[in-house]
Amino acid sequence: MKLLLRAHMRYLWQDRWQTLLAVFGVSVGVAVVLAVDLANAASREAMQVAQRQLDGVATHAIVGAGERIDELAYPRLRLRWRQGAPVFADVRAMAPVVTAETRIGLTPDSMTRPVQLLGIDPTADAGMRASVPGPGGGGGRLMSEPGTALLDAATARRLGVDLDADGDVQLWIQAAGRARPLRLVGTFSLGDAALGQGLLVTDIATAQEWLERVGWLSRIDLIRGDPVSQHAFGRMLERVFPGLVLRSPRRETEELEDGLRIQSLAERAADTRALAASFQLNLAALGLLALVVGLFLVHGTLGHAVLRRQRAFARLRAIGVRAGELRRMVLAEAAVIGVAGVLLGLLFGRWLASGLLALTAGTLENLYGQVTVAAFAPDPVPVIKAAGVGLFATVLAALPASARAAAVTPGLFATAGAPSASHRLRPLLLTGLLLLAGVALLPAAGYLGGLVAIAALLMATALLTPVWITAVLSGMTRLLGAAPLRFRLLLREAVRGLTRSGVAGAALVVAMATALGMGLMVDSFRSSVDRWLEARLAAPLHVQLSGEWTQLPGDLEAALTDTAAGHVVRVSWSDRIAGEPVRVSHIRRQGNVPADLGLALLAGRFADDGLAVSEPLARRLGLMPGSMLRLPVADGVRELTVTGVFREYGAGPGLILVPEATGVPVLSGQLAVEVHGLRADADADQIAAELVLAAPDGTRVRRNDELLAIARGVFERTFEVTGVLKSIAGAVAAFGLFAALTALGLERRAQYGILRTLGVDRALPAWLNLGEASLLAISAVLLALPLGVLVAIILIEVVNVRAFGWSLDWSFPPWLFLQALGIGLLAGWAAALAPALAVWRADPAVLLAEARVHA
Amino acid sequence: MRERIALLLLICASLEGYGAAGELRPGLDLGALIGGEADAGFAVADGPRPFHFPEDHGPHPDYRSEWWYLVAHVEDARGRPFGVQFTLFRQALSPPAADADENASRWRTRQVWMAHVALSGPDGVHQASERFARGELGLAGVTPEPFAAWLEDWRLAATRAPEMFPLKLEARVDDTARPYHVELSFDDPRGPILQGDRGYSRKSASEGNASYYYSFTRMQARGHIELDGERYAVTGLGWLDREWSTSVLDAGQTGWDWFALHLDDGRDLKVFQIRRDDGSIDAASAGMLVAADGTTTPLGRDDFDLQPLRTWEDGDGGNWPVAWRLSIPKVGIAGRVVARHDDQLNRLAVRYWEGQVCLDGPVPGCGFLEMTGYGGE
Amino acid sequence: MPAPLLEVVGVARTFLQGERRIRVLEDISCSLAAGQRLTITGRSGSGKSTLLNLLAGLDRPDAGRIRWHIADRYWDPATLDETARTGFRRRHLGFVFQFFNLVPTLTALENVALMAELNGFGDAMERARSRLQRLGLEDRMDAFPETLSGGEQQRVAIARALVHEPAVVLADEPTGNLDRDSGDAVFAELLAVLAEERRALVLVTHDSELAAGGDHHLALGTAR
Repeated sequence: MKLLLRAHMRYLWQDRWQTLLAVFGVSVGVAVVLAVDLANAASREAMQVAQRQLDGVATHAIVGAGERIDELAYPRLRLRWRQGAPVFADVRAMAPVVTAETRIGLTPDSMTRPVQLLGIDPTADAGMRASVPGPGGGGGRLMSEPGTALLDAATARRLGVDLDADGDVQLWIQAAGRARPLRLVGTFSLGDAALGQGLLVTDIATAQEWLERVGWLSRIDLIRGDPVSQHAFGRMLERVFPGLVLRSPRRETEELEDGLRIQSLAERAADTRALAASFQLNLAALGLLALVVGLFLVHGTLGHAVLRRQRAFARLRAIGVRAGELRRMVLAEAAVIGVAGVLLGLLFGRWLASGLLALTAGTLENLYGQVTVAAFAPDPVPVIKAAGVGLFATVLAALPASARAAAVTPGLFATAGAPSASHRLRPLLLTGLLLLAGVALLPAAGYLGGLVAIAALLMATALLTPVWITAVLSGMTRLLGAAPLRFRLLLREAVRGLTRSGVAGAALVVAMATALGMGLMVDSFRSSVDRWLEARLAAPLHVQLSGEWTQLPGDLEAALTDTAAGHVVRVSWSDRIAGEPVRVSHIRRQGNVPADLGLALLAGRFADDGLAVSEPLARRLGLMPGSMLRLPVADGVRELTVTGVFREYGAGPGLILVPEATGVPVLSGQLAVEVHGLRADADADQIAAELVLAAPDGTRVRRNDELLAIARGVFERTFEVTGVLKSIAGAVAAFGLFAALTALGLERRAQYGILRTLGVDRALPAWLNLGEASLLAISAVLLALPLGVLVAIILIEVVNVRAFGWSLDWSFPPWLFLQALGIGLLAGWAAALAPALAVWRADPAVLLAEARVHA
Repeated sequence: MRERIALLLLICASLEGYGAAGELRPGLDLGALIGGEADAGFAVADGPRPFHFPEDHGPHPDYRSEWWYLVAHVEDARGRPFGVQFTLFRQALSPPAADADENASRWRTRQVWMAHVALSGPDGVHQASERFARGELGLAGVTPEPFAAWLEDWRLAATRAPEMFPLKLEARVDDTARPYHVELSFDDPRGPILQGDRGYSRKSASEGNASYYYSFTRMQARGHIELDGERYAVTGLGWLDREWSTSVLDAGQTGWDWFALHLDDGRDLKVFQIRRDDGSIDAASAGMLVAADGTTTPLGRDDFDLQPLRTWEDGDGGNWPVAWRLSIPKVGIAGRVVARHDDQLNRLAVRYWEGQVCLDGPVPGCGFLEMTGYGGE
Repeated sequence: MPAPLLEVVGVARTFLQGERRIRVLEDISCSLAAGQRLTITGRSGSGKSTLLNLLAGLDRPDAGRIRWHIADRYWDPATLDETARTGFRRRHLGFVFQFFNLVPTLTALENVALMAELNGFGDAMERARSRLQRLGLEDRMDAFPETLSGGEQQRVAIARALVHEPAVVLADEPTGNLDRDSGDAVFAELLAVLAEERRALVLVTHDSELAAGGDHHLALGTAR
């Protein structure tokens, strides 16, 4: 058995190019899985750390309608908790919070730095937020000195504030529409990752006074139970398959007194991160696809290795080696390839991750502002996962080959011959089964069904690839029946080489189809978002008031009437409808504005007597024009008709537009004005300046055309990583092709030696190599183009709709197809160049010597 | 004495749990908080004053620190002993301000409250908990009449207002390994004992380093303790200290040993020594003997001698003397003071040992010992 | 007297194997006239293949000279560049190998036609077909090599070696991979064709029976 093993290992070494190809396939798969995991984990960590600055280690929060709570509820609830009320049975800490987005600056004229103002009670907050000091630390001064605050060190640095040198520093904060003095008495570090927005911590009393919210809390944070063990299974899943678990289907909302309820913060955070989730989902899916490509290389290598040794296996069987032993030997070969590939892949993946992380950080920066992503946490989970997936998948990929090895009939004189018909049929059968499985899984619940269907589709096509290429080449042979011998030679050699190059071709098909499908989806996404942005930003000017408002200040209204033909006032606040977090926007139209408000309506219309809801919300709640929706208002619940569903990619979980005419009372919230039809005699900048003058302090007036450019830039950046991963998948396929062609080149050296001796010039072998690569690439492209379109359709129509609730318009620009074609050909030529050059350079005497050795 | 605990507790509690979070550069300044200029604006204990009850049972917010410090040693019918501690600290973060803003938040306060509750059971298990609150929205506070001192649902309050006594202590602790519930009534027929000079207690040679200080040294305790789901009917003795001040003791003091003993002959004894970093005993160390009829005998530094006999290692590097030799020849008291259980360490934001001890000697007795500054962590 | 077809004068070839210099050939001289047969014998490692490579212009001697006289021209392969040498082999030499070495993806006919096509003969297929017919393979012309017997494969190889009408055929152990009977038959057919067309043969063999009948004989020893 040991000698047998040695023989097998020696074979791997003798056929080292092919072995190397398999090892490389596994290693790239493992590397991409690991790199994506690490990069995702690091970026998620960055987001979580940022989130934790605000939510702390709180697991839940008590919130009220419009996210406001009467502060007197707090001592009442706290006492109930202390007295052991069952609803608070597993609560370990409770802390009140007053929070709002504000801006600070060194002078009242330069309050431009956005910060999250966080008002806390230092006596209750202990243990809740890592960065926030208690009553005796900075917290003591926060409590005893009104108007004092602590700022995160990064923001302080950006402001040019040095407390060590200057002692307390006088700053200004824009809050509740007024500039207020702020005394900075300390800084704190947000740790390794920081939200670019900055965090300003102050005492709850100061926060209430600044924000003019005396008597109100934003929420009450809770730590419930043991945060580690909570939803342990879900957390584990999320850790092992990042991006695949987006939100728990269970909504944890418990009603308390007076419309107060307990809300899970994990769920809230998940709800606000749809875009980031889509991004990570892309990465994870690509990582797995890279592994699939790698697996095909393993599968093909071992299959080929078994085929080549069929005669040897037959002899071994004849002298008494059992079928099981052969099977195990082949699996052992796979294990060797797997271990080598995994080790290499882990190293490569670590390296790749740093590159990915830089890009990921760029994307996150665009989505969330300045994000500093720390070095990778020494977390064994992604490493173990990547290694385990790599090994398991390698052995799995080797199962067919091992079965074939075990099925060899014993015989001393058996001829290798052509594979039997059943062996030819098996891939076809498997393909059919996979396709069936894919189709069957498509309607399965959630976007996972869509992803699995895509994977099945890709695998089926990959299995089909050699059959397909054979068919294409045979067709060409038939067409070129009377062609010069060298063309016949080329076509026949290409077919003959398929045992080796078929797998590489399959990998190329998968890579190109993925790249194309992903590219089409991204392009559709981009153009849909673009159209939505254009509609959304149709009004030339956008006015955003600082702080919270219930109605438009009179001066601003007068200025608007002077300068514009019409405007739309939106007051927006957060709420929940049927357990779903939503933004409610109260809409008041004034003057001459488009009837549909520039909404990208998907169904129905925007009407004064009903609600318009965003597409994701409509999908989740099953709403369509004519549906009734119960809207919580200050004094109860109002039931209103949904008149329209509009496209929305920006509002996260859901957006409800409530026209003024419905009579729904306005809660206090963020106030924004869209300004339409500007006065003819002035340009937009001039009118913007006039509006700023009339508006309360802190009001921003922005030109929507500029915003549009910025928003487009963000989307470009967001999908840059996808492009990089696409290139990696393409590079893997190209390398696979390269290794296959190199192996073929080595195999054909003897033959080339003979040909050269006979007087064939050096160009012919090289020409054969390049021609073969071109044929492979063209065949692969022909298969990959329709497959890519299919992948894109599933991504657009199934995965995106199910994962994020939004639909996309198809956009299939021809240049993407040309690009795929070009990439395929380039990959083929790039792969063939080195082997062709090697043959070109080779000394015919040396080649001939090899011919003398090899029978 | 306990002034110092209060400050240390507040400061350390605020840092505890944050140190690991990374660089923190709060405006934390011990000097600013407890000394120097920050004293400006606070009332100072600068000489004897008349006490007015019940007003003086309530808070004195113009002074920096104040506490209601209750300890009790009780036992059930079968003689199983329990030690109970309830302490409410008030700490002013800043001197009284001029006028409050019209639009001021109800959370606006300069008073921070901290409460400690501890129980040691008959099997020697000692559990201590702490809570913080700001003195607004009814979360914590003290009212003189009817008397009530509370932080959330931990509460010491008069049950027959307007009378101060009987007092009832209620404290439920659910978040420890062995949840418990204390319900004790205290009665005191004798009235407050003024410590020091008519309740003016000088803490060092320098002017103003003093507090106003009175005690109920021998309260009859009776009630129930629920531990591990079992309910014990208990009786015993309690001791309540009331003290408020602004000043701070000298630097160079490393800790103290504070004894409060109920002697079996009806007398109550308080002695404490302050240890200095040079190993000497501070001259401010003192004591007082209270006769059954309430008459008091002050004890000076030279009137008593305390020698540690045995230390207990707390597992975190601290070594606490849990057996002492005490002798006060002047009043005929001598003997060994031994802890009922070695581990009565309050492992809170600040670690200090507060527990039951008994004196064996010609005149035996039981009471509480408080120790600080023996290291650990 | 016309110049001989081949003149070999004082040829030596040394290989470096690490530090060791291995003299494979030393001071080899011989000559061959058109239509004659040169037989080269020797043990394994005596330099037979090396000499053959030198004659074919696949290798260059360290010393001495090799001169072919074909088509009224002298050819010294060592002085030609790669393209010219390849052209020389293509046009004037025919090869028969021990392992036949047919192109597996070409049929018997195509294998033979390949040489004719390479030499630019417009009627490559016709020539190939007639060659194969002469060798008795008219039924096997469209078969791929792997379905041919060893003897058939070697006949196809002989047809390939002659289809472009070279001046000389270089045969490297042409019967080495055949059984005695078919080997003898194939060799006899080769000799017959060569004799008929007056083409020379350089035969490398360690088969004493085959070696017996040549015009010139070169026995390579162990000149180290």
